[in-house]
Amino acid sequence: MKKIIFLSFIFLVGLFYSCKNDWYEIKPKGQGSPATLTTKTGINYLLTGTYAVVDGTHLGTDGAVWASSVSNWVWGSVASDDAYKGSDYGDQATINPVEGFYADADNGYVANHWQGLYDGVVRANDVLRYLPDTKDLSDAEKTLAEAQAKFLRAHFYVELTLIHGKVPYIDENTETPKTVANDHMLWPEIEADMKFAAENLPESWGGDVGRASRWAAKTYLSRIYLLQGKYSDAKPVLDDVYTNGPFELMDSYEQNYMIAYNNNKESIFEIQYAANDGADGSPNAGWGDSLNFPHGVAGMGTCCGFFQPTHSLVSAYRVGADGLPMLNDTYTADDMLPYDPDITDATVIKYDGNVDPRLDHTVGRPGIPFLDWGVQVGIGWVRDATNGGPYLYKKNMFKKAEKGLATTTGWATGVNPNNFRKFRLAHVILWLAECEAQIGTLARATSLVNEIRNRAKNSNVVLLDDGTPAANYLVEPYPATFASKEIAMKAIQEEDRLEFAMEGMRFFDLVRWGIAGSVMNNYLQVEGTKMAHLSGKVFTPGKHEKWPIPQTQRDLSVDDSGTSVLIQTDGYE
Amino acid sequence: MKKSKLKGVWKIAALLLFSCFYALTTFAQQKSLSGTVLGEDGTPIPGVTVVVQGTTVGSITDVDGKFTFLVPADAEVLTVSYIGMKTQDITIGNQTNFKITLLADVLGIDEVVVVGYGTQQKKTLTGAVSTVDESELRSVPAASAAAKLQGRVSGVTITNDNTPGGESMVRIRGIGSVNNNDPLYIIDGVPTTGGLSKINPNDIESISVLKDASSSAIYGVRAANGVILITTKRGKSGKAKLRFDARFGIQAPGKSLELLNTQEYGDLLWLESKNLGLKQGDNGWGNSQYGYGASPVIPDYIIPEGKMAGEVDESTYSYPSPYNGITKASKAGTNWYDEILDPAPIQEYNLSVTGGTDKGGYAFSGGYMNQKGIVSNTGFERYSIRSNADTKITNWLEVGESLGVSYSDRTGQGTNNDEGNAISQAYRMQPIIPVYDIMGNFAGTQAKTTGNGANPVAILDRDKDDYNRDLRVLTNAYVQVNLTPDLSVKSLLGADYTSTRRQDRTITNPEFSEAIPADKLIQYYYGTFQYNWINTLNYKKTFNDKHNFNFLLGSEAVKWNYDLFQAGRSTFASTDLDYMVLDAGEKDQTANGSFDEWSTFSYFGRINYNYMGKYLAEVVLRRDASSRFSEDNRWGTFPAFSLGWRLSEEAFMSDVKWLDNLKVRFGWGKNGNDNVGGYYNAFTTYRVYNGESYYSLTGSNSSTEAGIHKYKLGNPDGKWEASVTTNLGIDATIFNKLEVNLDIYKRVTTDMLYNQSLPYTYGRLQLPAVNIGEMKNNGFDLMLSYNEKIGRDLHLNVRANVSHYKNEIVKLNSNPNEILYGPELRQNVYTASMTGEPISSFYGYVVEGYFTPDMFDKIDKYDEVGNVDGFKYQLKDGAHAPYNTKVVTGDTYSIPGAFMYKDINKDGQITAEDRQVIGSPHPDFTYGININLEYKNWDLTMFFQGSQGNDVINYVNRWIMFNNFSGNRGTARLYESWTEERYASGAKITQPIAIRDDAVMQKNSSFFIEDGSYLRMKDLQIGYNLPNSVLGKAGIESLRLYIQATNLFTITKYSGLDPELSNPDDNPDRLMGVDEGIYPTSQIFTFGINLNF
Repeated sequence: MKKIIFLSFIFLVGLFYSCKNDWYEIKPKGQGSPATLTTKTGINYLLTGTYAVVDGTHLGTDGAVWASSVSNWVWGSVASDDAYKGSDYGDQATINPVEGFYADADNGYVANHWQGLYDGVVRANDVLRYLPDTKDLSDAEKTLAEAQAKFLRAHFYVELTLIHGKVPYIDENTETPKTVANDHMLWPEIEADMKFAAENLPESWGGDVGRASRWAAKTYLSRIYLLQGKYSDAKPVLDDVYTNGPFELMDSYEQNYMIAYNNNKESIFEIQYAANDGADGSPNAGWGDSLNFPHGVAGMGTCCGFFQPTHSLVSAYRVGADGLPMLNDTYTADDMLPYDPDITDATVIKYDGNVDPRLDHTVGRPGIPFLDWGVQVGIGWVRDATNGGPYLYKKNMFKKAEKGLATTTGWATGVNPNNFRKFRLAHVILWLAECEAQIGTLARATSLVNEIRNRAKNSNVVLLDDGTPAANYLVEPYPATFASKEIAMKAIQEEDRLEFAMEGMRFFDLVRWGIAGSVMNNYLQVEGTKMAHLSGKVFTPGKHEKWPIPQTQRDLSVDDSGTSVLIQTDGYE
Repeated sequence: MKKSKLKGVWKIAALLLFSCFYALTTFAQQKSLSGTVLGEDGTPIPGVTVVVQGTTVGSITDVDGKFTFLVPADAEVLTVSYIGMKTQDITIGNQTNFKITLLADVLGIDEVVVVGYGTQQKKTLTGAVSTVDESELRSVPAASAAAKLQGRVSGVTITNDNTPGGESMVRIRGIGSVNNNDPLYIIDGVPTTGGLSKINPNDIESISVLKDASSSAIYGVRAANGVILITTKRGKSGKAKLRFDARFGIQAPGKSLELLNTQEYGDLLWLESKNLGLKQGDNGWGNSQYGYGASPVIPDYIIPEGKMAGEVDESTYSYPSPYNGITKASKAGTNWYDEILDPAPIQEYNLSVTGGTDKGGYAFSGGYMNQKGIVSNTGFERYSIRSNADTKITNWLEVGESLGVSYSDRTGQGTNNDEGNAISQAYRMQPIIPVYDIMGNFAGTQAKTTGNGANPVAILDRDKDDYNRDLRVLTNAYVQVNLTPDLSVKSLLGADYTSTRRQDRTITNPEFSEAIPADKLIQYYYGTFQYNWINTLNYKKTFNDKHNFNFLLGSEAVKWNYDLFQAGRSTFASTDLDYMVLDAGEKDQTANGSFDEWSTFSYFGRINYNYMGKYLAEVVLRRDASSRFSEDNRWGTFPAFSLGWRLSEEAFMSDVKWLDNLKVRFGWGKNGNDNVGGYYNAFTTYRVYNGESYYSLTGSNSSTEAGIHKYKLGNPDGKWEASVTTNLGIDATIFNKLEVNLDIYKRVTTDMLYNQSLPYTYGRLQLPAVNIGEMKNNGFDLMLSYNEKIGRDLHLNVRANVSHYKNEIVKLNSNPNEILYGPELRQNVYTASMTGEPISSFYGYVVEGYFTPDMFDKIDKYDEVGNVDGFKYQLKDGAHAPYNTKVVTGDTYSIPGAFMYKDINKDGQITAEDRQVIGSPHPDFTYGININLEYKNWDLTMFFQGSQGNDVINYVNRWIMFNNFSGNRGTARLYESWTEERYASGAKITQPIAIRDDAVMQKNSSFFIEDGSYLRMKDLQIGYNLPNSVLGKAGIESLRLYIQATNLFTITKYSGLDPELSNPDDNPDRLMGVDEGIYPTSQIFTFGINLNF
């Protein structure tokens, strides 16, 4: 019996065998730890991960990818007089308040924009945080990485500032981001980052055309100056790019919107899209614009009919017999080009006056060939003409002959490798013209504008199958020097609109020119007579130039006493 | 674990075996006892256990109720026991032959109940444990044991997923956490997370539900949500028994939603235009299919749109590319529900053999189940085999094993309760679209202005070859050494292995407005493997016939892993099944893989003590370590105790004749939950992911460079979530007919792991869980069981149970105003969790009624030349708070007939701040009633089950009553929506004004809330046992035939398809009670046979 008790005791010990710690030391699978990042590879990967935000990622959250799209189609174009949200009224309905200027701090797109851009800031900060401890990088290599990270960080902060106004500044040294107040506009920090980039980036990266170059940084810096109205700071930088940069205008305008001419000689900074790169649904092919292709067009197979040009934009392309735009603000409901909603075949009424040929490279119009996809049929190619009008967005579309380049997986069937040209020489030329107009050198301002108009004049026009032009195209340079600074500015503003329509810049330009209130209210009043969703909508100057700080972010950004450190944008309190 | 340590254990075991053998040889003088055990009616009872009290020496009666065995000469008392009979102790004295009559213990007070790592007599239980036996589990035809448990046990709320093979959601005593709330399942000692639908419920002998912490604390590590112990059938001593069960049934779909037909849909479009103030000829009037006239005209063709016969050249038909799928209008209107719902068969066959001797037993079984779904081209099939065996090698050594293997196959479109499944597409498709175009290919929303619904018949047809095949092996083996009659040690090694192969084919859908560009195939191989090793020591002793001790000590190690491999390709020359394998795919080669694991290790101990079966006590202590926490916080300690007092055993109660049993119980205990925040909550990680961190730096059109991004923030300070339950229970038996079990409990979860809320200035990251929240559940569980014998032949048995819980979040984090929003559905939030409210309360605006015309000034609008050009409404000052005027200048929402939302914060405007809790998905109580009648050879079972007082959000109404997308609409939007005429005439109005631009009215509000209470007749069964006179000759022991109706009727006010809403989401509690398009419950009519040899 004693033996049994003794053996039971031994058994008990065996029963309570203790596991060694490695039984529980289970590490995350397939994930990098902070320790693995302070290497050359780690920094390169972090940097690529930061570039990845620029082209719009965030497949995970509906809306974030569209709200934070680099093309700014929602904030720069739908919120302007260039574009409607389009599609069905109820689809992505949280854009409606942006379009109609009644978004509040709970608006989903406002929050999604904030989310996407701060994710970029945090990724750029990670590069800068790990960089000093990296051993296998030379100082020169570190500077190159730093300059790229700062270029990208400045970009993210420009976007945040343009849309939300005062935003909190989070950098690589911030310990507790939630306690950082938004007490000033971030232009000084943005300028510092972009200047560093302009001084330290190489003029060219050789094969890596996707990386930001010194010229990209300089162009961006000039844009940052212009957004603050600092013409005298902007001018020398623009002159430098114009004179010393290796860029030339493309022969024909529409080449800037074609896959075949990605990264062309006019391009200064291009957002790189790649489809069918092995990632399901081609998330790296400009998902920010994935809704903005014709919807339900037989044989085209793209989605989802968003982002439609306005009547206002189309009528802006009318030219007089002199081939010049109509610069007097006489746009009325009568100028909305007529279309009959009942007509569904190709014989729709076309505007038979003269139009700038850039119109049909920018806008899909009934009766006009839509690239090589055939003639756009009535409103048959539109998802809901009562909500979005008869026109379609064209610049991001791929040609039928290039269908194999577009995504072959996922529901976002339009995404394709047609890059978004964020900055090209045309920007530099027109901005420089603006600077010249401001200081009164009107002759140079005129010749710069005419450089753009002459290129338009010499560009290909859209042709019908029989080889004849699809409309009465006419565009001419200004025959004489602008008579005054005011006329020059008017002409330049109009030229900006025509050249860069639907490219997400218009709203911010209206704001920096100080004419957002008058232009937008005229537009809303006129379009409101025909487009129900704009009826009764009003732009309030002093408020609607910016959007709110998302309420959830204010609620979460609190100091130790629980008080929010983020003040609301003026007018949204 | 070190290998050498393992070796050590086996060495010790070998020594033990030897020593025990030695010890047992010391038994000497013996005598032989024999006897017969009879029932009250004088018939012999086989399988009765007869043992010498306090030893394992004994035998089991044979078919004739006889027993014979050798006992030590000094043996004093025989204990005779049999399930369902009162146990008897018989003094041996000089007797060697016994005639023992066992009395029926109708209410099973001596029943043995399976508890953690052992069994216990029901009468000495002190925790809150409910059991369900085999006969109850067999009643309802369902693939999963969990579905069969619904309504059977108090304190357990079960929501079924009606898709064939779908898993039910099981919640024990409310919801304890914002995290995982699934109970822990233990099958024959092996903990499992693999769900129950892959296990053949016919193999189950009993289910014990451990509801309070004092009973479940022995499983501390994952027991916070309760424990469900499942014991499969094992062989008993006696002759071999063969049992065959078969059933065949037809499932019939229930109701469909009332939707518009083609003409009505056109009428609604016209009504919407009129409501906008449009006239014929205005921009926005009319529709390209129905024309632009004064009233809608149904066209003959919808592709090409709006064309009449004669206008269309059908020879231009072209499919699939270029797509010109000429389609005729469905003039009467397609009833999409009829197109996808059909009666479907369900069949099930089980064969089992059990038997054994006093040296051991065996149970073999095989089963086959085949359930077709009422939704076309869906189904579930399961093959299962099981082999359980136990053998006593010597008196002191027992070994045994369980091996269950099942193979199941779910086919067809498997999603449930989401906007994309076929059920939802049935209301998203306009009635004007036919199922097929003129050439017999599928028709769809390529037809203009028909929205973006997808033809559900096409979906189901194209997905019919999708499958989800599981091979599951659940097994264990044990060795038990009985060192002395009182002391035993047991070692059990268990494994749970599931391997899944899944095929997902996506076939191009050219008729769909958002057609996909290429055929695609993805194949998945994934599986889990878990093994556990349990070692226990059990000591059981009675001192002075009064003090009964039971002592358990043990340890358990568990390791779990999961791995996934997935590969896909797109673009196939043919979608033929034989052709469409991965190798034949031309583009988009993808391959993904992942791997996860966790482990736990635990010590535990339990002491049971009772004094003469009168005063009962139990103490449990468990210590657990989990790999999910960092070293400093790895170990958690979970104590529990419980006390019981059987008042009916007291002398002063002996006069109370009507009270046969009365026991009060009290228990307190603490449990832990580590199933939170993923497996690696402690770590900050970075991820390489092509969807988030790749970029084409080289400018390539078709390739990208890899990048990395911060993915997850870690919380090294995370520790166990703890749940403390206090339980007070009463068990009573009255007149030996009525048994009452009542438990009242309070359960508090502290250190609840809650995902940290941080602003996006930290990045868009997976945020770690931090121990900060607190949650409370109060409730009661009541079970009643009543037995009556009426006359000679009529037996009545009624069992009823009621469960109630009240859930409240005490704290989420340091911010008292923190709101944890549920998932967004189309930019709207439907559920929210906040302090002071139950988890996942419905959240939204309160609708106070409709704006009426007298609240407005009608202001004429003028055109440029000064003529009146329409009008607009201007809300009169003070009439009602308008919608968001602060930001909407010229509020176009506030018009007659639109919802008046309540201005909760009284700031004079309706904003997002005016949302509040508007309902609760939690029932006041759930219940089940089972009535069983037996008359001679006939039996009748009626089982009702229901839920009372829970709200439901009818999210489907957002699709069919509002302009979310251009799908079909409910008839009420046309006939019962607000119009000036209906308002003036006092006609019935159940819907707001039908306007196109109504994004505001479809925000979540009290309008979408409905009463989700229901009472369902779950089972109606009539059985007939063929008389022995017929069977005897054929050697058949019994043969029962039955017919059965399942879900015969449901009484509910809910207007949707079904009020019982399951959610297949990863965190289903966060969308509980939201109907996004549920797979409806079907009626099943079954014929079955139970045959015993």
